[in-house]
Amino acid sequence: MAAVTGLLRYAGIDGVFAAGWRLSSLMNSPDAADRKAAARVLGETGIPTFYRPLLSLLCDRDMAVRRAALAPAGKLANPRLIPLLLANLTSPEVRDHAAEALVQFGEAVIPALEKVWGQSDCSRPLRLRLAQVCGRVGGPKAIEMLLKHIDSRDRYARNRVLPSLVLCHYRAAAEQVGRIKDRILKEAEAVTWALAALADLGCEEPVRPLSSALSQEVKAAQERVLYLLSFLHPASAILRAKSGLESEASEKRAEALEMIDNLVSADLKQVVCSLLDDVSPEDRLRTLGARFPQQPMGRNARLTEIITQSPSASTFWIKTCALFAAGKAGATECCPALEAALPHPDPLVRETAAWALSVTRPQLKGLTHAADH
Amino acid sequence: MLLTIEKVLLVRSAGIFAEIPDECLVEVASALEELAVEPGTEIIKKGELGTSLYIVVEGRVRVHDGDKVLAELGPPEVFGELSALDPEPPMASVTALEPAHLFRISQQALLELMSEQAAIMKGIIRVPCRRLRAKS
Repeated sequence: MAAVTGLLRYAGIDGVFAAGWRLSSLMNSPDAADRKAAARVLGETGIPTFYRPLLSLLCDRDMAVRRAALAPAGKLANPRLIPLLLANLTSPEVRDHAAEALVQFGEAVIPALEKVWGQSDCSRPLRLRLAQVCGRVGGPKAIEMLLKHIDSRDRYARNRVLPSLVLCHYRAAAEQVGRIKDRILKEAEAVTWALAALADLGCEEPVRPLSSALSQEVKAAQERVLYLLSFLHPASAILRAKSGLESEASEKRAEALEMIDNLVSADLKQVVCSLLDDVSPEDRLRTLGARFPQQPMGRNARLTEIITQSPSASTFWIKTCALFAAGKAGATECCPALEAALPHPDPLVRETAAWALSVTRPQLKGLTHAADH
Repeated sequence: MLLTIEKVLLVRSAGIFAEIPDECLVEVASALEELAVEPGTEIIKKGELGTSLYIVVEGRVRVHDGDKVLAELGPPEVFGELSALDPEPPMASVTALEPAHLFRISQQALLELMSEQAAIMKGIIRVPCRRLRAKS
């Protein structure tokens, strides 16, 4: 193999002719080990214009060959390889290698990532991986792309975009401070809504998974707020406070809260402290509710609200748990909402809506029947 | 036939997955395989390379070294987690004591999920860390 590499690298056109037949036979070999060797040779040549042979190896039926081809693809960093690298980003067996290769392109890869993100058929997991790659690439272009999505309606995207911005060492410029602060307030408002829903739903068996999902959403929003704060204030101190808040030791949490109290600007202090303080959900709702008033609701009305909310207002998982709770509780008054959830784009939501409807509709029929008599 | 959400709730009740956010467990639930085993079925054989993690959904299994019983496990306990993380021949066998319903997650699926979701990696690593701290 070293001879083939040497001929390709140093022996000019004659070398390419001499080694070409050997490389071609390796690439077309039925043995995957040969095709992997061909990928290695292409990486070792290190000539960016010598990318064409990689095109077929990056689509190889054998995932080990694709993995072997992804390493030289990053090394050669020819833009013509980017579409195939992005395609490999969706295959579980090779996606880590594809991400690694894309990172090696540096900022040159950002426009391609942005284009894929903007496509209507770009799946949620792919968007999350694109955000991750963007964070690892870093630099002004990556920051510019990530900033476009900090207000994304998809909370999972925001969960990934914000740590990626931290990886890029992003600091909010004066003209962006208002936008970041506004985002913090929106997160706090969403937490207040989740706490109000928790209070209305209680924690009895049928709603327990939903309560747990809402509590997890509160935690995720608190985490997002800490990332946002790290763009406004000294990032290392905020991130230290973030890990202190995650500690099981109460003194570490208290120290972290004190640190945040000292760092956060006066206009955000009250909301941020109410959001992060070590208090019960009821107390948190009381303090945040003063700023973001909430209307108490009955359990089934709250379930209906969650089931019919827009995707930006509740995640697919919260919606699924609400549907499950409605089915388990036999909440017949939720039937119109259950029907409305049947064409939902998420398969988990659809599956749970169909089940919930199948268990509540007979009860509804029974009630109507009894009323008729 | 369990709903996906029911699988998620069962998986979450297993200690190793307890700290992983539910929405990440949806991916775990979609990667698992359901197994029905008869009493006396040897699920893991001592010394034979095992690469899967199992969750007991129904029934009981015995962890044993020959005739020596090491433990009896029921829902929602987990076995095989070390083999799934670091494939080595297991030190004990696991046999079904009664008709049992199990979830199996392959090493490949588990590693993919761990590489994809930092939360899954954190949740899984936290369990052996705690066991080690408790021992020392």
